[in-house]
Amino acid sequence: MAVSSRIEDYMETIFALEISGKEATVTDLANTLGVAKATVVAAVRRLVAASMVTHERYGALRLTGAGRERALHIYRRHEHLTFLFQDILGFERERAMAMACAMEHEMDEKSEARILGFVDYLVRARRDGREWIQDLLSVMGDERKLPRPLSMIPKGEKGVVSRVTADGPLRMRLFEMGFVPGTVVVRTGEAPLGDPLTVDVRGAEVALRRIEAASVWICASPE
Amino acid sequence: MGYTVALTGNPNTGKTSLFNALTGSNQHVGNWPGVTVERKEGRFRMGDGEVKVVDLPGIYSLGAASLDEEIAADFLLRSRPDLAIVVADGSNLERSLYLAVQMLETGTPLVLALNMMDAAAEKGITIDVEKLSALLGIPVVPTVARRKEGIEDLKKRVLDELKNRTAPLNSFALPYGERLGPLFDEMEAFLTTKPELIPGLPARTAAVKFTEGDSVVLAAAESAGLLPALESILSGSGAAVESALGYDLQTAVIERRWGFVSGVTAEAVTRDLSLKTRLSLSDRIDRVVTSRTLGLPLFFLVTWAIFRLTYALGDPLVEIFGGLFESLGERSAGFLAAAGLSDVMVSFIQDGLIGGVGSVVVFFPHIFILFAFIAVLEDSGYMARGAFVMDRVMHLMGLHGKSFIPMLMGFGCNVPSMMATRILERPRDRMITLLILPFMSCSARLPVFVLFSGAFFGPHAGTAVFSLYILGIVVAVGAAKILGSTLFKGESSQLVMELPPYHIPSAGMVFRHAWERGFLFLQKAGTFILLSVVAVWALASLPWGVEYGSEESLVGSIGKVLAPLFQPAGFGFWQAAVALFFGFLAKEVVVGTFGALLGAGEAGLAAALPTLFTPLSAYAFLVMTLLYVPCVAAVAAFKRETGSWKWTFFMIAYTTLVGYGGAVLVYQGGRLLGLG
Repeated sequence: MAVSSRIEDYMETIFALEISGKEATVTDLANTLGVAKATVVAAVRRLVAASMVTHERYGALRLTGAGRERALHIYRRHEHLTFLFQDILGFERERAMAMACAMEHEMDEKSEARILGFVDYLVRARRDGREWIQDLLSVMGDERKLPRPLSMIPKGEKGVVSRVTADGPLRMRLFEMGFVPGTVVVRTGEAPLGDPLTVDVRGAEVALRRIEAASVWICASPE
Repeated sequence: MGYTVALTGNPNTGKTSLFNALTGSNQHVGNWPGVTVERKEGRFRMGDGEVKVVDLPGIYSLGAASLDEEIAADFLLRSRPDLAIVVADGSNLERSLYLAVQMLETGTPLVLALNMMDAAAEKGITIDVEKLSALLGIPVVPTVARRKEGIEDLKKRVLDELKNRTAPLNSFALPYGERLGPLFDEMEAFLTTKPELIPGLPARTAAVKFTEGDSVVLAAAESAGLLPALESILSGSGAAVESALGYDLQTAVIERRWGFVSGVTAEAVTRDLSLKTRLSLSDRIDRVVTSRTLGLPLFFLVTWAIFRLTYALGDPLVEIFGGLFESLGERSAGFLAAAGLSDVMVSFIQDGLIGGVGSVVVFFPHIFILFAFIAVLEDSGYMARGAFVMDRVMHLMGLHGKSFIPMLMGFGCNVPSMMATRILERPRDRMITLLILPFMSCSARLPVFVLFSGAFFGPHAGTAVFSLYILGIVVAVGAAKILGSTLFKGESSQLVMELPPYHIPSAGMVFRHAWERGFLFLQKAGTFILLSVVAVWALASLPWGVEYGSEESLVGSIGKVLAPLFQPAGFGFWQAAVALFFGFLAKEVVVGTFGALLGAGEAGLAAALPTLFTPLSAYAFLVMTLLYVPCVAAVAAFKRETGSWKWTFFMIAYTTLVGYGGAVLVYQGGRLLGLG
């Protein structure tokens, strides 16, 4: 049963009207989705053919049982994603809706269940006034608290290693020099030509090239 | 029975000073089997105990990445010395303890030498030696190796430990936590049912090292056929641990070990914060030495000064040595002739043997002086800064910051410059630098340039000479680029290095280092050079009775065979081929050879040369002289540094091809431009 993502938008809109106690018409759909009536008619014809919708001539559109089941999924995804983007991650409503619209069609049952669970958990944590969620929200709200490559830390700044993404001998070398998660480092200086740079790590001054420093990720230090 | 004790520790912890203090002059320098990394051994006695001390290359951990580290790790893990002395920097204990803890895990009996305690005191650092000893379960001895303090105590503790160990073996178990612990239990349980992966290595440590991806243990597991079983444990139980911890197992193991080290450090070390002036003397020096404005000029000044001083101080000595051997040759020739020896024998002894030995010995002053300077640079901590400051430029050529020093030295003489590549730790950086060094125009090529330029280019002679120096640099840079992206592709150059605090180098260390280098050169390269000189002498003198190096000699015949080859380069006559052949002995010999072959003294050569060369073919000949195979001493040094005949022959072939190609290009290009 081929129902394209655009077609899913029609079902979602009919469902939204339905749960607010209204009957959907071709005109309502055209207005809500911002498309021509003829386009709606063509889409409805395909939905009817797929047994998702029944259509009385010049009358209301109704979801079939299967159609309603499916529309519920899409609707719920949309609502949760909008909620995630808007209320938790702090995007504006327009932006949150647009991102939710783009994402909802890409999700399968499994990813939906996980994201729903995640959002629910966050909502409950916030309701219960957990401390960590405040911390999480403040970290997300502050660009400087996100991990950045060591090469992008301003001179004189202090930070904590969060991970090392290099591999092979370089990874080993960085580890044995003490760049492991949790280590406090200070970016101290640089060579006259701007590369390599120097870092204070575990009591020693270590020089490394920018390209090598780019594989050490640093978070702002807790103080 | 004698004991074998390994001396290990991080770089810049005063390990070499400690080795010298322990063994005095009772040392022997050799090579590790199969590789060119030096193996230093010494001995000390105390009472009836005799101890052999093996000085290992400085390492930060047992996870080997470079050749030096591999040797050290291999010796510690596989050869299992009776005991290992871990040298720690008392002024930065945490960093040194990482290796010490890894060593503890191997189950090797240990003594920790807490060195540089004077520097620690200056920084306001107090270490509770008793507590540290109790926490680690090994004897800890404070030392100041440079002032020979604590050495007797260290020897005593080492012998005590060897004779009657106080701590039970393999008693140390690093607490890896509740997540990693059960995983290691499982692997340990599996490994104890099998023969030991590495003899003497505790099964649990083998499990830990396997998990962190240690190459020695991985290889051992593979050859024991246990790789699939161990990997399936890791992908099963290990995966669960990974997801619980939030990072990969390797990171987890190393993070836990560092965590343990930090904990021990925090308990044993107290720091007087009132003395903690953040701007130590070292930092203040660095403000100037690596500053944006002064960093590079200062580095150029330092290297230029070393370059000048090496040759300014060395040249008079070289002249004295040279003169000495020449007069020795003449005197013995006179003496031997008077004693009734045949001309051939006299010539063999004078030109072959004495001349050969002389051509080896003349390099000694330069090598000695250069390595004294290099020792000063390294010991003071400036070498690391030099590499740091120059790295950007050298990295553009695919090289390491430190490559600059040998390249600059190359302008003086390729031989010490090749030996100077030892400052490069990574084999790749070292090999590329060695391969491009022959293109740096050494001072022996200058007389050839000056003679030809004077004869052919009149007022433009200076420009011609300068252009050759530039050409050498351009070819070297190009060769570095090409080699880096072809033969050495995939091996990335890497610069993650500690900038150690500055300190005043000790005169004894500097002298010892310089002497060792010079002596090693005489010993290893000398034989090769001597043999080559004798071989060339034979070619020039045979068949018996011909004039030395004349048209009728073997070398003359070879020259005549080779001459047509040089036709495209504009100098297809046998004299040029013979001159180039003798140039292999030493490039300045090219001048003397022409003098002899053209029957003109060196003074009359400028007038005689135009009978053979045109200005264009003369320049092509100079290009050939600049780029073709370096002299026999440089080839010997190359062989000694790479330890590989394969690479030595490659170097000879490719430099000669580049030289020939360059000469042909110049001659044919010039003719096309109507310069012929």
